Amino acid sequence: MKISYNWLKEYLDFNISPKEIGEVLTDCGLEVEEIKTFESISGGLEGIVIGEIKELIKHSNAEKLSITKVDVGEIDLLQIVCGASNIKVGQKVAVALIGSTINHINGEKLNIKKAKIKGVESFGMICAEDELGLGMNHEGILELPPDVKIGTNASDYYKIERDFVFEIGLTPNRGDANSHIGVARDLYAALNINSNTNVKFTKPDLSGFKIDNTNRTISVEVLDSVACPRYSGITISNVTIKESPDWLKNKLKAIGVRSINNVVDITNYLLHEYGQPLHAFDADKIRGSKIVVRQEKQNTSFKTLDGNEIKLNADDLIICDAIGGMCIAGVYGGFESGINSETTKNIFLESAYFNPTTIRKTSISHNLRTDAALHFEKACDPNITVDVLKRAAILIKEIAGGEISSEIIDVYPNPIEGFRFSISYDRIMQLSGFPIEKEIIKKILNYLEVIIEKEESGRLDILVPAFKNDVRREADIVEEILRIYGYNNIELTDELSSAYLPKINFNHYYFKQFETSKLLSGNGFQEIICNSLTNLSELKNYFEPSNNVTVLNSKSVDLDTLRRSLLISGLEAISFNIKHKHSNLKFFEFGKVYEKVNSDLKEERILSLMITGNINEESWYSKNKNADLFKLLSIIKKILTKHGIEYTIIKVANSLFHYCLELRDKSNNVLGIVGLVTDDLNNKYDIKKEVFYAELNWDIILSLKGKLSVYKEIVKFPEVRRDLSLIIDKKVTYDEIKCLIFEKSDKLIKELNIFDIYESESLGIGKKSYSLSVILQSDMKTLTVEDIDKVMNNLINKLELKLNATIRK
Amino acid sequence: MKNQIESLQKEIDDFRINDNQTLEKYRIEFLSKNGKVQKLFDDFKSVSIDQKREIGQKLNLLKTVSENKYNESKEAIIKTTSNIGIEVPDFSLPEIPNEDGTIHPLSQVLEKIIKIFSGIGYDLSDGPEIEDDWHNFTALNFPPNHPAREMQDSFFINKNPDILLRTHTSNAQVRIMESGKMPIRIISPGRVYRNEVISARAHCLFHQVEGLYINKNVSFKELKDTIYYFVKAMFGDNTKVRFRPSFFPFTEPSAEVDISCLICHGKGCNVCKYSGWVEIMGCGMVDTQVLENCNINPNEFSGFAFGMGLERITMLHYQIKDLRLFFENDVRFLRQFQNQNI
Repeated sequence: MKISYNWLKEYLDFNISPKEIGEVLTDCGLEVEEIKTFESISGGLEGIVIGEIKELIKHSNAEKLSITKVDVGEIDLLQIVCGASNIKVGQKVAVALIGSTINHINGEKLNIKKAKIKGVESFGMICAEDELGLGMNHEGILELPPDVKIGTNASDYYKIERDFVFEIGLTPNRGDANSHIGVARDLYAALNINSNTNVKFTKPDLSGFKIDNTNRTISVEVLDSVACPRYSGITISNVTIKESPDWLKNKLKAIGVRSINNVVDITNYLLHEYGQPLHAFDADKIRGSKIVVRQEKQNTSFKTLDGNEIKLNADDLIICDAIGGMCIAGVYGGFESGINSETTKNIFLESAYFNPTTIRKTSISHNLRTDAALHFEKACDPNITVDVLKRAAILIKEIAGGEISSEIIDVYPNPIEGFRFSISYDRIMQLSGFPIEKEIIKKILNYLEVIIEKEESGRLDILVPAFKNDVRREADIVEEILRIYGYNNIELTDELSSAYLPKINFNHYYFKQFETSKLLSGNGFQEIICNSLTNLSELKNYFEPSNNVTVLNSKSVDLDTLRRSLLISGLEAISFNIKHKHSNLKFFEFGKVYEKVNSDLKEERILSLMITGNINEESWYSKNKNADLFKLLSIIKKILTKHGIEYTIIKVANSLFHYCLELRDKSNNVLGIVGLVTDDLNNKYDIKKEVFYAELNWDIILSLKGKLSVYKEIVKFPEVRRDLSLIIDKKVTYDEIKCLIFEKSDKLIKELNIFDIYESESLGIGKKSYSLSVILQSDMKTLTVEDIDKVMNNLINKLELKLNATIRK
Repeated sequence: MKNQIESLQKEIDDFRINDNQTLEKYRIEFLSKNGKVQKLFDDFKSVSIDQKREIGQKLNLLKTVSENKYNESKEAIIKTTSNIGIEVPDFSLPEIPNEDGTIHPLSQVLEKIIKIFSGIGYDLSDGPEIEDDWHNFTALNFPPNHPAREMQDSFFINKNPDILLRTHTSNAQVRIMESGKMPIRIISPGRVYRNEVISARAHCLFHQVEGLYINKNVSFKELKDTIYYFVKAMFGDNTKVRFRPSFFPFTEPSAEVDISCLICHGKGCNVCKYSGWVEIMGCGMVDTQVLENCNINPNEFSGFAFGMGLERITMLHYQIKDLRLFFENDVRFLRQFQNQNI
């Protein structure tokens, strides 16, 4: 919404800069997004003066140029080189002086500097109409009347209008401020409450309104008083429709409204002054001299102002004459009934209050989002229709002539008084949280035109005017009081009133996420966040379609399904980075996956991990190593150990992976999976290197009660290490060796580790070598060589017997 | 015996220890089991009782002195020989690459926000992203024809009954209010969706952090105190705050909160569009209708709510100008956030 500073000054006698007014408006809830300077002629003709051509000679080097001497009211004449053919001695011309900027009508700007044109110095420029931004004419220089005084500023001669325009972002609840008078009301209250000034609020004077005759009375019948609670109108005869005077054109231009003709301009002016849309009919086209406000049958054809044919809905409210529809009430005019500058002599002006919901429905269903509709939707003031008609009639008579030739017709069967309720000072204080003087409260209400009908034992019975459509409860009044008092004038105390011991769950998902993220980033993993919406076709071959959660109305086909796994979006991220020459990647993401199971829509939290390329950066310090399964398994171990969770790993089938492992805890909860992504998927995302992926079921992991750390006495007796190299069948797993060693074993074996793996044909076909270290320790004594040998021999025997192992000597 | 002690003392004093070899020679000659000092101790048995005390003291002194000489000489030899032959490496080599990953800037900022509110007793709460009409709109006082619904262009999963991707995290607030346990003091961070075409300034998903406090006698002033506390903790003590009256269907009175521009500190620049202020959140007193919708008696309890966009706060903080960067996962972007000073 555009609000003019100069208009506001017509209602309020303040003497405050536009910038400060802007701040006051923002502070009381009318957010000023921008303040623009308006000049009725762009650039304001700054630095341009009127001069007279005193001398004129032809330029010796250029046939078309003249060298002039111009009197601009200074002591010396100015030498200016000019190329116009219509130039003559004695002409009055507009001269752009050195240092000025001219604003060409096409929007270009030109800085005027001292110049040398074909060897002759030139101290300014004699301007054409288009160069001044006054019009389109470029047929030579602009010639001014001979009686203009030399040295006059062009801005004075052309009576430049200057204004400042506030661009206000009006919130949907502020229909009351959808006009200059509405904004002035808030400003009036805020200025008087918060500054020492005593500003007066003067609304337009309507005392000049007089009915000339009643020769052309139009009768009005409203058939639906719910959709149209009030309908007022008046007839004005013998008007002359023509161009508007400059003052009106400039007023509208300042707020971005294009001038049409004097009558339409006045209706637009009043729309922005009062917030009341008016509609002007050609009175001679109202058949039967009768207006009927009613609905038409569904699908009745209607030709709108711009010549389009539309089909009406049965609940669209239509302004009809005795025969048929003339105008879609509050939304758009009809083709036939509007005023026409050629033929219209007599006009009927409508000023009505329509139901906001009715207007909104019609306006949206026909996609006719007109200014008038937007005003009616935000709710206008039902109690100003007649005042606005009077104001319009006065202005029309002044500008377009004619006489008022009917009484004001006013159909208002059930006057809307406003909203009556009571408020208490205590409640206001309690919700505000600080004391406000009762006098201030009453003053604010008074400035905002809220009527205090009764004050008794700390309560106020109030009547809120109908234009404050959104103020119906105590809390609404508290907002009115506080926004005028100024939110920023509420003093802070650095204390919170109600302190109580909070219950905070420090095991909450987010706390656990942050802990784990630190672990992961410390281990070289990069956190990513991917879109949870994806394209259905991406999922098609990998997930059961009937379990997908799909969006009905996505604006983008790429985003029509919620993701089922973090794998696909993760591969997209890998692919993106590989395209940008970064192929050594370690990613993790905390995100949700979504699934439809029967009619349930499920969302589960997942932690995904993925690695590809080298797992370390290339450097002089260490060799490059490719991403592999073990790197991923070790990070998973770290995460689950931090949560005190023990688990086992088994191999499972999964079509997304070459091979896939599943992690389960003792109670058989599936904690997650780890796998090597298939070539098929890799190819789809143009990924050449292996991608290892893991997905942890974060919701399940967080729901488990992990083991707590418990202190155990440190054993006093020394550890002993013995190494063993085994040659075994390739099929034998480390896990089998481990089980065998710890099975019914001597309690002296504390730890087992594998420090070398070797495969070579020299070991025998289908064989491999594992080098193990065994840590032995007793809680009771220092072990002797005999003790140790006994255990080790026993162990070797078991390995030889059960696993067919050969011990390398 | 006395003389023997004295002459041995002299012998010890005169023995020159230069290196490890002479040190070992010294040890064998004087301190070993068969050494000269021990030999005197062996002879001590034959000393008469009346001299035992005096001789014993002298002998002990000799032992201590001889051992001290050994230890001191040993230390001196270690000191003089230990640095020989050890070269200083080329410490100008580039450092071993920092292989730390980084935490996504949105997560870093979120953690800070959560810490700030934990500090004044806010618990965490969350709700589903796939939500019904009641928890996303109706309970929050969006009537069917209200203009505010126009602002929300949403992803629908189902129509009649309406199921949609939540447009704000306020659904978590409705759910906790409905649970009926008073007082309530929570923040609800989470992912939300709007049906937008993706561009530098709009995205179909983003994250919010909303807060809610409901108790007896909660006031607007307390809301203001809380927001000021947050802004100072988040953006620094010198940050200025401005409240602007605004409108939300679920709060009354409502406000939008601006802070002094972090780039120009209020002087005016292109980030704040030369206003000196940037908007960071909306807030207000929970609308009495919302309380009633959640079965809370508005005559007994009042409360406030606030909400901010995590992306917006993060963009302001790091001067990021394109929303898409957050979800593109370009490591050239992500790796810029090693420094976790927020």
